[in-house]
Amino acid sequence: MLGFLIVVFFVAVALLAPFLAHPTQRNPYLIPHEGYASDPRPPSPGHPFGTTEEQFDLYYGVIWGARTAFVVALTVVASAVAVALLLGSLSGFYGGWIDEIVMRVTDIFLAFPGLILAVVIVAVLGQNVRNAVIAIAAVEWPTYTRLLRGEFLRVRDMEYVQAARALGSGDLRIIARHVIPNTVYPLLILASLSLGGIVITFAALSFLGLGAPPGYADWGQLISLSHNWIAGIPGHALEFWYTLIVPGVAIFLFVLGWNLLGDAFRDIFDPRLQGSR
Amino acid sequence: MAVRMRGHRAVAIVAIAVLIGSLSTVTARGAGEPVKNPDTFVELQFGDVESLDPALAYDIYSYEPIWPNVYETLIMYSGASLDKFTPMLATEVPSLANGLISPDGLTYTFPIRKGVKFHDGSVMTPDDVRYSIQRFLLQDQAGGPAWLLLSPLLGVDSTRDDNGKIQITYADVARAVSVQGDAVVFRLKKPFAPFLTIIAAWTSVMPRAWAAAHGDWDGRPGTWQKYNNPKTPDRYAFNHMNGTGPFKLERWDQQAKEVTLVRHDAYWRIPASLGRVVIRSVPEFTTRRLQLQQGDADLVVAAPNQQTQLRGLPGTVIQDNLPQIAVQTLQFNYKINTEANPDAGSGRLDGAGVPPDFFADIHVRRAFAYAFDYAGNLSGAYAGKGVIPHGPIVQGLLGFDSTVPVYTTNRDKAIAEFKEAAGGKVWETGFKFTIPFTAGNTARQTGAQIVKDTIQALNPKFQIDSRPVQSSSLIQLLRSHKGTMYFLGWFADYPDPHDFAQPFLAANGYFPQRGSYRNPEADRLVDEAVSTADPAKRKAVYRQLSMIAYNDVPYLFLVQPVTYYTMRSWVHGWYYNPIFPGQYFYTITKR
Repeated sequence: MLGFLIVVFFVAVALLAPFLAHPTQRNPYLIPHEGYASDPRPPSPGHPFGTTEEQFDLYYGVIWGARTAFVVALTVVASAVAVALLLGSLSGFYGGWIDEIVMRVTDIFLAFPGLILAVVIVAVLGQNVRNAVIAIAAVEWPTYTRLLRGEFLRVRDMEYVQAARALGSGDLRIIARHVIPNTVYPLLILASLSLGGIVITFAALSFLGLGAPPGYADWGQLISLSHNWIAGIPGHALEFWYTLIVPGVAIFLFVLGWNLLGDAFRDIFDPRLQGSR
Repeated sequence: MAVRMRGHRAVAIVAIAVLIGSLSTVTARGAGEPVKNPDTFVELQFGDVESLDPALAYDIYSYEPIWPNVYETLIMYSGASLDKFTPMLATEVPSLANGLISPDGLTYTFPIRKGVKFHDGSVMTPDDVRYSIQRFLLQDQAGGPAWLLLSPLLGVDSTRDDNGKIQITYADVARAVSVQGDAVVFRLKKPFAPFLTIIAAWTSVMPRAWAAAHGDWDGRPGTWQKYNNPKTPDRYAFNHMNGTGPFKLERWDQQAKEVTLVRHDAYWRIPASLGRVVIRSVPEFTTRRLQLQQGDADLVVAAPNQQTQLRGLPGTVIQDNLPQIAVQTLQFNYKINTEANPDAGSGRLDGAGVPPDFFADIHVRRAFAYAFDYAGNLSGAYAGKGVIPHGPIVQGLLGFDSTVPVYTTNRDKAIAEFKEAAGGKVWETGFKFTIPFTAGNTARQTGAQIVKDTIQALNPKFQIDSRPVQSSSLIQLLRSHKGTMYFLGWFADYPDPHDFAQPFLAANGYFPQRGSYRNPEADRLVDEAVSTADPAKRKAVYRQLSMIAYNDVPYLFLVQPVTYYTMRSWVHGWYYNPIFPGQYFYTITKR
């Protein structure tokens, strides 16, 4: 329930971004900044969350960063699910050499640590938001594909599938009407659980200078702008707390929300857990 | 199993406790603590070394260990002075009074000190001096420092002509630098007043036998051509050093970007107080600061706009507002190498890249000049510490002229210039490119942000990105002409306007070698200025050159900065000379 509320909150923030933080530039994802003074400034009436180095407004960055987070996470999940539906169903339903090829390819992708693979892909493609999304999607799809294939293996020999086949249904109809509806729930649970993780991966890429460019409304980018200031000034280690805490809390809540929601989905969708609740 | 688990846990808890304990003792350190590692001096930089060869290195990060720490020169700047000298490898500073400069000002005689030992134990001879200077002249990597001595001694800026063919003979060099008894004699083409200031920084001496034994030029007349214009890592001296200085090279870790020097105990003066010097490249500012705070570093270099985070650090002092004979610029590459160059995007004027000759268009350059926010850059990137220069000849040099006009921010003029560029095509289709900047140099990062903001605000089709690059990689990038638009600073090699006019405006100067700027009139005036003796006339020629720089706009002159160093208060004996590429560790003690 809490998870649901948090996610609804972020959805509202993302949808209402133009009203909460009025864009001043053509590209609303670019955070406005006044001047180029290097030192961050603490929260003040004009800047409720303060500013980062080079005076990017944190409030604006957090609000529009919610949109970036959704755009990135949903795009990655959507493309990973799409790939999984295609390759996972082919592989799981038909088995044989198709299965072998698809599974060995996923093995290759899974053999690399996710973030490292994403870094390599972005480094090759060049740094921008689109390429970072492509990179994360390339890291994510094998998990989805394997999961769906496993579910397919379980379901494809079920009696209702055999019944459908006996009644003369084509492969496509069996997959679309009978198998997918009975296999897709674990995918949804995985998707909701991994939405948070994707945002963290994207933030990590931005922090490393491989995701969003400086000044782009993205939480990871905001944290990257804070990294010179984490240690504060001599004697006042927490002098610039807002540069780190503000975007950090945004990421924390976002990820927490999706994780709680994912757990809730699992409880609802997974019939085997029904008794244990 | 369970017992073992518990055992592991106990070990882990003890380990964590020890870790926390050690952390708290470390953080408890502060002012008044005993000196940490009294024998070792650690300097943290954001730049790193590209080459350790004194005849080749031509950036301040590479030159810091070379001079005056490992290699030494015939004479040296006396303390912080820029016009007084003390003898080093020579026993006397030549002057008209002591007869070591001939009355016509063309012959300089340096009696060479006896009994000076190189780091390998061999004894320095006048022939080693002759060899080292000739090697400096003849090796002459394109865009390297050889011109500094070629220009006064041979009257040319390069051993090669414009087509890359060798234009000098060994006889020319032998005539210019020769051994006479115990002395080395220099013969100039024309009288050149600042000659001693060049000698004081650019005559590093290495042993001939050592170099020749490791595949370098053997010092003989017939063989030098094949050692001309080498690639950076070609020579043994690229990563090995053998000088006479107070420190010898222990290790250059190219992976860790760290140079370690150890004391030369057979030094010809009293050996240095420090036993070991470590110069490490740490692009991450917070790491640099914390190491200084813990006393693990003794001196850190930081960008001007990071000073607020260093001020008031317990147990440290800031040496602030140190004047620099230097200028920070934003430069255009007239001929971008677009091959395998992601910074240039598509390599065409199609809205997704820039063509090779993009910046060869004067309207494009002027547009950038009018768009840039100079005041914002000075106050943001340099925390207001510095002045906006009037062209390449900076304050403190002969020929500085505050009546030379400067570009000021003017949005309308910038738009008008962009609309004229490439017959209007630039404005119509737009462009996209990436500015590489030195990683860790936040001043340049801010500068890149200013370019990005000001240009992108003019037209939605204009797209500029920036990316951090390690300083040694940036140097290599620019040498292969892959830079698009980039920030570079120039630090005086010696305090004379020729050292600014030539590198900026002569076709074979340091920057035109990288950015392909050409103006025959500027070439002529650079030569004229350096061979003019009358200061008033010389000044007038430098004004003309500054006007050419204003009209051609090959560079935006952003700031003549002042600099600062932050060091532990246990550092004593440190002093500053604007010509030093970095620190002179010989005089430093820790107590």
